[in-house]
Amino acid sequence: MLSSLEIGKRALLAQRIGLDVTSNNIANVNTPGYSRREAIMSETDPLFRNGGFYGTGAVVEKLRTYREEFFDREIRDTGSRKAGYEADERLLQRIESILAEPSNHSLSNVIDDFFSSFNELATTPEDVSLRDYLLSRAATLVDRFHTTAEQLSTVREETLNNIDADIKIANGIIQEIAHLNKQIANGNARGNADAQSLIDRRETKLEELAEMVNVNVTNGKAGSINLFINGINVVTDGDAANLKIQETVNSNTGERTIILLKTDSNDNPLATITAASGRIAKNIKHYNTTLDDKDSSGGFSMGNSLNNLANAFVQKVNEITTQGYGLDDTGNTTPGRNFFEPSVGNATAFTIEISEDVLDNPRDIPLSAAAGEPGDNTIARSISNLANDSSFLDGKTPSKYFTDFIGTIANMGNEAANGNSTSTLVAEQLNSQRESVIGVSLDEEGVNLIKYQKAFEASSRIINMSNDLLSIIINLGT
Amino acid sequence: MRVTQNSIIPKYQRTLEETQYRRFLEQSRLSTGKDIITISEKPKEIVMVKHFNTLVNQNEKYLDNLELTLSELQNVSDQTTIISDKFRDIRDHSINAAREGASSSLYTIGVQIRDLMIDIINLANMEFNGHYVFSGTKTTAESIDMDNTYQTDLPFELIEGESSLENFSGFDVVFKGNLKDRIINKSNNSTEKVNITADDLFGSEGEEAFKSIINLYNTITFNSDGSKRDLTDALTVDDVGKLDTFQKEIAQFYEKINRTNGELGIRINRLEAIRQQTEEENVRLKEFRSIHEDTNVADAAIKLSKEENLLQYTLQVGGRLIRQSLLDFLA
Repeated sequence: MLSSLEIGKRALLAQRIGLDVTSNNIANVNTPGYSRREAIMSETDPLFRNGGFYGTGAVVEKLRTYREEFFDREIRDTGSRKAGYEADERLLQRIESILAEPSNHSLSNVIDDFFSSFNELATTPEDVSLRDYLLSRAATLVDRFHTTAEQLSTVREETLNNIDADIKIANGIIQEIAHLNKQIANGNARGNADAQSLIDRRETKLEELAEMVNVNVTNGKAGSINLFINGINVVTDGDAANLKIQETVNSNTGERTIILLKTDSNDNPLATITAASGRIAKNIKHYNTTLDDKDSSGGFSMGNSLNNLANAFVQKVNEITTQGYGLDDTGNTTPGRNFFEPSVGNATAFTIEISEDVLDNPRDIPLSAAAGEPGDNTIARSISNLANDSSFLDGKTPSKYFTDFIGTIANMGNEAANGNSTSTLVAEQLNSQRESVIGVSLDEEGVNLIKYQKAFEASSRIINMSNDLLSIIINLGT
Repeated sequence: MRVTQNSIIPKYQRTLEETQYRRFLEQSRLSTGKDIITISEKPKEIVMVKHFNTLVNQNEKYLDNLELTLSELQNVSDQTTIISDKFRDIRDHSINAAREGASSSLYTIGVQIRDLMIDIINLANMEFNGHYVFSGTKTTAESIDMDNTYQTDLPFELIEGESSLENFSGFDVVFKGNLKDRIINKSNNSTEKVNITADDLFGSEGEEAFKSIINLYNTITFNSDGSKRDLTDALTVDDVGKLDTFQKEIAQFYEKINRTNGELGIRINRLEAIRQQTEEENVRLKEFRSIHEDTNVADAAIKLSKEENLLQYTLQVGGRLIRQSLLDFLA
C-alpha cells in the first residue's frame, strides 16, 4: 500500500516538473534565442516481487533541449551578411540624399547649366550681364562641389563613429561570451541543467556579434566555445581578447585608413583582423574606400571620383581660358587668366574655387581668342564644347562621367537593397526552420498543460485513494 | 513542420512592413508625379533619365541660341534690305544725273546721294542686343580702334577731310571693325555663321562701296577743277564717262547686297528649319525622359489601391494570427 503512495508521490513530482517546464516555455515564448525544453520522463527501476517485476512509478529523467548547431551557424552567417547589406543600404541612402538625385538641383544639373552658360554667352560674348550670370552659375557649381564633398566627409566621420560604437559593443559581447563560457563550463561540471539557459544566451550574443563582424565557432572545453573572426581567435574558453581600430595616415598623400586589430588586455596589438562581412567590416570598407577622397586602393571611391571631376573642370577650363582675352584686353600676349583655382597642382572638390583673375570683374572672363574682339566667342564655344568632349575625364564627357558615377551609386544601393532583401528572406527562412525545432508553440504547450494537469490530478487521486485504503486498514482494528 | 509563435510573427511583421513600404512608394509616385523615388530603386532608369536630361538641357540652350540668332538675322535682313534700297536710290540718282547732263538739279542730286550715303553709314552702324552687327568681332564701342582723325567709336564713320585733286569733297568712309565671322553652336556638332561681314555688303575692307559712292558724289557735285558745280555747270564728257563707271560699280554693289541678303534669307530659312527640328527633337526627348522618369498615374493608382487592400487584409489577418492559440479556448 505504501508503494502506491510512493508511486503517486513520484508521479506528482514528475507532473509538477512537467508543468514547470511547460510554464517556463510559455513564459519564454517571446524570449529571443530561447530554446524550448521538454521534460523527458522515464519509468523508475521496477521491483522484483512474487515472481514478477512491479513498476515503481515515473521520474523526470532529463530536460531535453532543442538547439540545432547547423541552424545556429547558418543564422549567424546570414545575420552577418544581412547586417552588412543593411549598413551598405543605410550609407547609400544617406549618400543619395546628399546627391539630391533625381532633382533639378543636383550637381549634374549644375554641371549642365555651367556649360550652357558658356553656350549662351557665345551668342553675345560682350554681354556683361550674361558674364555676371555665368559667374553666378560657376559659383553654384563650386558651391555644389564643396557641399557634396563636405557632406561626404561628414558621412565618413559618422561612419568612423559608428565603427567606434560597434567596436565598443563588440568588445562587451566578446567579454560576455567568455564569461558565459566560464559559467557554462562550471555548470556542466556540476551537472547543472540550467546551463542550457546560458547556452541560449551565448548563442544570442554570438548572433549579435555576427551582425557586427563575421564569426566562426568551434567547441571548447566542457561546453565552452572558441570564437574566431576570420581565423583570428578572440575567445578561447573563458579568455577574451579586445578589438580595436587603428588609423594610419599616409605621409605622402595624407590618406587616412583604418584597420581592425585584436589586442590584449593592455591594448597591445596582437593581430590584424580582416573582417569579411558584418556591419563593422562593411563600414571599414566604406571608410577606407567608398568615402575616402584620397583613396589609393583602386576601388570605387565617391570622394575620389568627385575630386577627379572637380580637377578635370579646373584643368580643362583653365587650359582654354589661359589662351583667351577679356573684353578690355589689348596686345598680342594673352593675360593667361585662369577661370578656376587652384591653378597649380591637383584641385579637389574641397579646393575648387573661381579664380581671382575673373571673380570680381566679369569683363575679364576670357571668352575671345583675340584681343580687342569682344564679339569673338572662340574661347566661350571651346568651353561650351567641353560638355560634349568625350576625353574630358576617363574617356567620357562630364555629364556621362557624372551619370556613370550616379549609376554606380544607384547600382550599389540597388545591390545592397536586393542583398538585404534576399538575406532577410534567407534569415527568416532559417529562423523559421530553427523555430520549428527550438521554438515554443503555444498550442503545443497548451496541450502539455492539459496533459500534465490531468496527470497531476490523476496522481493526486492515487494518493487520495492510497490514503483512503490506508485509513481503512488502520481502522480495521477499531 | 512545427509552427511556433515566432515562426509566424516575424514573417507577418516583414510582410506588413513591405506592404506599407510599397504603399508609401505608390503614394509618393502619385504625389510627386515621378516614378523614381530613390535612385537605387531603378539604377538603369536613372542613367537614362540623366542622359535625356542632359540632351534636353543642351537642346533648350541651342533653341535659345537659335531663336536669338534668328531674331538678329531677321533684323539684319531687314536692315540690309533698307541698305539695298538706298543703293538702288543712289543708282537711280546717278542715272538721273547722267540723263540730265547739265542741269540745275545736279547739285541737289549730289546732296541726295551724300545723304543716302550717310543713311547707309547709320544703318551699317546698327546694333542688336548690345553689339554692332556689321563690325565682325569688334562688336562694342570699346573695341573700335580710335585715332585722331576719328570722331566716333562707331564701326563706320564718314570722315570729312581735306579736299584734294583725287577727292574734291575730302569725304572718306572708314570701317573700324574687322571682317571676321561670328560663329555659334547650333547643335553639338555643328556651327553657324551668324553675321554678315562688312565686305559681304560693301566690298573690299568694307569700304569699297563707299568709295564708289564718294566718287559718284564728287563727280556729280564738283567740276573738274574742284569747284562746286553751280546751276549752269554741265557734266563734261569725261564726267559722263566717270559717271557711267561709278554707276556700274554702284549697280554691282546693289546686286552684291541683294545677293548677300538672299543668302541671309536662305540661312534664316535653314536655321528656322533647324530650330523646328531641334524643337521637335526636344519634344521627343522629353517624351523619352518622361517614359523613364514620370509616373504612369493609372498604373500607380491601381497599384496603390491594391497595396491598400493588401494592407487591410494583412492587418485583419494579423489580428487573428497573433491573438489565437489553444490557450484562448481553454476554460
